[in-house]
Amino acid sequence: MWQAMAQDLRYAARTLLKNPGFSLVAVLMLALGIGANTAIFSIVNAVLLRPLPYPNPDRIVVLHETSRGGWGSVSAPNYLDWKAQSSSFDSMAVYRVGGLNLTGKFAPQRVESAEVSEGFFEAFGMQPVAGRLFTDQEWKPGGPDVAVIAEGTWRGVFGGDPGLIGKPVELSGVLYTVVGVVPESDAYPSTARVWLPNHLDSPFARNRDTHFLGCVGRLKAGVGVEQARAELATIAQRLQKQYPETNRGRGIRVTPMLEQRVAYIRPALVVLLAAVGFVLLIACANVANLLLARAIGRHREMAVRAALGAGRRRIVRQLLTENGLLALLGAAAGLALAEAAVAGLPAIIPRGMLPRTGGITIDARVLAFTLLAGTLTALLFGLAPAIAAARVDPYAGMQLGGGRATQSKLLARMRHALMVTEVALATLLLVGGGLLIRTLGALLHVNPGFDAAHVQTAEIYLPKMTPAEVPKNLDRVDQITARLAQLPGAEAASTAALLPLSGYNINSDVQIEGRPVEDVTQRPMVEMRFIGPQFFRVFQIPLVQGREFEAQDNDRSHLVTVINRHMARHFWGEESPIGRHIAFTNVNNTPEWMEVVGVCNDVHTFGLGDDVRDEAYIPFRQQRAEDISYLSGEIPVEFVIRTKGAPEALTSAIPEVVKAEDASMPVSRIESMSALLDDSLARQRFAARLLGAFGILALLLAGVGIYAVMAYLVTERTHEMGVRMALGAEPGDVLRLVLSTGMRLALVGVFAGLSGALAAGRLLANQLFGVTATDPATFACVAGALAMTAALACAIPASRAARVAPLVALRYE
Amino acid sequence: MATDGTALIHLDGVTKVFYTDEIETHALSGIHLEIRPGEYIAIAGPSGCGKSTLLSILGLLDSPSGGEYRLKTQPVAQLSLSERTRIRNREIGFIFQAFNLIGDLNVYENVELPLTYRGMSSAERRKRVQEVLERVGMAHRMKHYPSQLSGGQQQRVAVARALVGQPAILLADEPTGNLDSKNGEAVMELLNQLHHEGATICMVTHDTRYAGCAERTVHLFDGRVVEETAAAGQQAVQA
Repeated sequence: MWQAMAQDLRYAARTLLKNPGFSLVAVLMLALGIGANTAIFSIVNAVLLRPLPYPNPDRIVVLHETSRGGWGSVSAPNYLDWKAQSSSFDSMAVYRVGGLNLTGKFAPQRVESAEVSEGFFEAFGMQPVAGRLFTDQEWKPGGPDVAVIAEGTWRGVFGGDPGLIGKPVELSGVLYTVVGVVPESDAYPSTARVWLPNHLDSPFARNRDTHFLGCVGRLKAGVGVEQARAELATIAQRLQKQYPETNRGRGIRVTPMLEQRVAYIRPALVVLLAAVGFVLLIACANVANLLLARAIGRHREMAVRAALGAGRRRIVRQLLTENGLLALLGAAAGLALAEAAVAGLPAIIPRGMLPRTGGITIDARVLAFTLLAGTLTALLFGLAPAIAAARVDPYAGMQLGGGRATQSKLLARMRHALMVTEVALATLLLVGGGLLIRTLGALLHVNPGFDAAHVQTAEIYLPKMTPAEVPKNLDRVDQITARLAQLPGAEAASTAALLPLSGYNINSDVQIEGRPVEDVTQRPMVEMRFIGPQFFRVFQIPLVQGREFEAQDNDRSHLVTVINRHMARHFWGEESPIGRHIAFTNVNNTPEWMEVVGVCNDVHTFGLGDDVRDEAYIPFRQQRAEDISYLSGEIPVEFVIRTKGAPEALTSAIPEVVKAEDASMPVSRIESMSALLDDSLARQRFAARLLGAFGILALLLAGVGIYAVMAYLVTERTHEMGVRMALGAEPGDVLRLVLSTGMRLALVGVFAGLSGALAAGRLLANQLFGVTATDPATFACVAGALAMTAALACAIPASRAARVAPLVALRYE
Repeated sequence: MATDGTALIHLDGVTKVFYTDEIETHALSGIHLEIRPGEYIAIAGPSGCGKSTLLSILGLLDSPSGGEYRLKTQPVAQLSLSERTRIRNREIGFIFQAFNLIGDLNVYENVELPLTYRGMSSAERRKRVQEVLERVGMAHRMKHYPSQLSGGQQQRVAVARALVGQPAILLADEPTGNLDSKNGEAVMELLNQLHHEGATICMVTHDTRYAGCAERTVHLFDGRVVEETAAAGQQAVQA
């Protein structure tokens, strides 16, 4: 048995070497298909399949509060009740993300941070690689300022100095003692590099209606997610009854952490994997077609083998060995391609688009996938041709032309079916790519509501401050803004807590003057955007009514707001809102009324494809000092500058201006608004490019496939063409015959593909904007592109057929 | 042989030379031949003597290297490819040794094929195809595919296809070559019948029995006409 297999393998290698052209083309096609699949699977593996890097990761869950059909952050009092009343968890903790300026004997730098409550490290099972985690004493309110840092920061910034443990480092102007170092791979949130104890002693933490914390938990061994959900549902009901003003309608959402982190990206990755799977299927169809064509040429060889006593199974085994070797070579070459692709992936995956991209690598699971893909591929492209080739009549097969006609017909049917299949798959892919490209086009045509050109932005973080220090710090912000406005090339400058399209938001329930005061859980939500004077001028956001903010709109003047047109229409319809009042509830649950002094145009602040929401712009200087003192170091200050020329011209001047004001304050990011606008479409652009590229690859492969089938058809039917010419067919008649044969098959494939695209459209529906999944223009363009490709692919064999001399009609094999 | 203006085909000193690398092969040398309307002529000779080359020239499938070929008094040397195709379609009916029926077309469609290249109306085509299939006794197999027919039946269909365009001459290349003796004789009987009905036939064969069916047999050897014999009652000509 082994001897026979070795013999088959030797013969297979010899056969492949004897036909280097065929072997090279087949291996190349398989390598493209398997390589692309391996590369995409390495992403799927890293993002969706790889377990979280913690002990018993399936026991880690994320908890959210639910309300009005949505879910979000958790209030500290609710969390404390959950923790006290539940018995399903080994540990439960809350955290809030932020950023700190790390300063010392090096250039100031921005580090992401997390303030975490007791039980946080236990929830993940994190263990320090140096030092220790926080002690009971350190968790208590009023405890010492201590920090745990990530291994990468320890090694990168402090050279891995073991002496750092127990020593202070300066973070946003405060000295923290480093007590321990944790592995960077364990970091949660993934971008955090410094962890501080969160004592939950701020005014916000005492307010049950202020939802600003993330919450994680570790289930007890043997407790399932469903069990925890049931227990927390009971607790949520109890809290609703106990605190109806703040908790009516509020529930608790429990999600396994891995699911929480990857659920949003799973549909896109599944679509991508399906798309690249189609490319592999097309490559398989092409190789199968090559093998079918070769089977005709090897008909006599198979007949001889059969005549010498080889059974059908034996012949199939021999052919499958050859095909297996081809697949193995294809898989090896594909793996090499995938290695190169994986190395280049970080450069092409847009920043922040995928979670867990650090783990994208060719690991054992990816290797197993490649091996599986190679094996399935060998069966897919090799089995049918092998079986067909083995169906040989040993007597007729050795006669001149005998038995070949019947076999040819069977193989021809197979080839045609394969051609139709690959055209259908290419159509599906092109429709998908086309829809995403149209989506991107539609998004690019959306008016964001502001003029991003000639706007430069820079981000800083203010150091942590007491309420008394707030005015001084805001004065510094004003001074920096004034200096930025004076820079050569600057027209105007302003500030904002959040930039449009940043992905972050702050919202709150709102009361409207003259309307009955509703229960807090029923009040409408409005987005709050803190901005400085000149903001509307910098972004060229037209004011529809009223006025813009001025320098005198500060903490000493009465509170004012500019609302967007959407909100004006929502609450006042056609009436003017100017002079009306709205109120947001402050941390003490007291409404703070502010006068509407202006109405501005709507801005797509959440994303070009997202709906405009009710928005209230509030002067930066009218934020409450208590709020700022608590939020400082977390909410960045964005400087925005309108420039006369290219915004990038100010890139080097901005840090100098900031440094002149405070040498310890790093500018964490400088980027033009146009670049940020571009970044906001990065996900759509990436998906469109990738699916578009797969579509084009599929189109090319399908073109090659059609060409191969038609070229073989012409070769096989050369005699028939000669007969037709002898009977009076003009070259044009033969040309039309070949073209119509090819086009008929191609159009069947296009029709099947379009039908498939109609059925599969819903898979893409949630990724589309400005175009439906059944967009007739996309379908028509794809059909046209496929038809043109098919016509081009058929044209060369057809013109060859038209040149067949009628004399061949007289030739007899 | 005397030349007169009534000859359907007139070959005068026709030669055919093939060049392969530096080797020159004289397939035909100085062929003089006339075929009159209604005549049944056989071209005989051993394998490689030039029979098929001569037939391909007669059928306008190939061009002579020298000499003159006139069909219905018209010289064919200067005809364009398109004119040659048109003449082939209208004036010449081919019967091939291997039948050369198209496997994907049924009997009706195979016979109809030459007419489709003429732009003839489908009603006219249908009428002609039915007539000719009835004439060769294959009307009952109209919907069958070639693979469903015996060799003899396939050759009958091929004859029908050659006749359907009402050509001036039928060129038959070893029409019995792929048939057993019984079917071969049946096909020869069909050709005889067609001849008696007025068809002009030129048949290439190496089988002296079947050559005897023709009124006149031209014997080729090494690309030259070495002898012409006539059937009983006909005048024999020594080349």
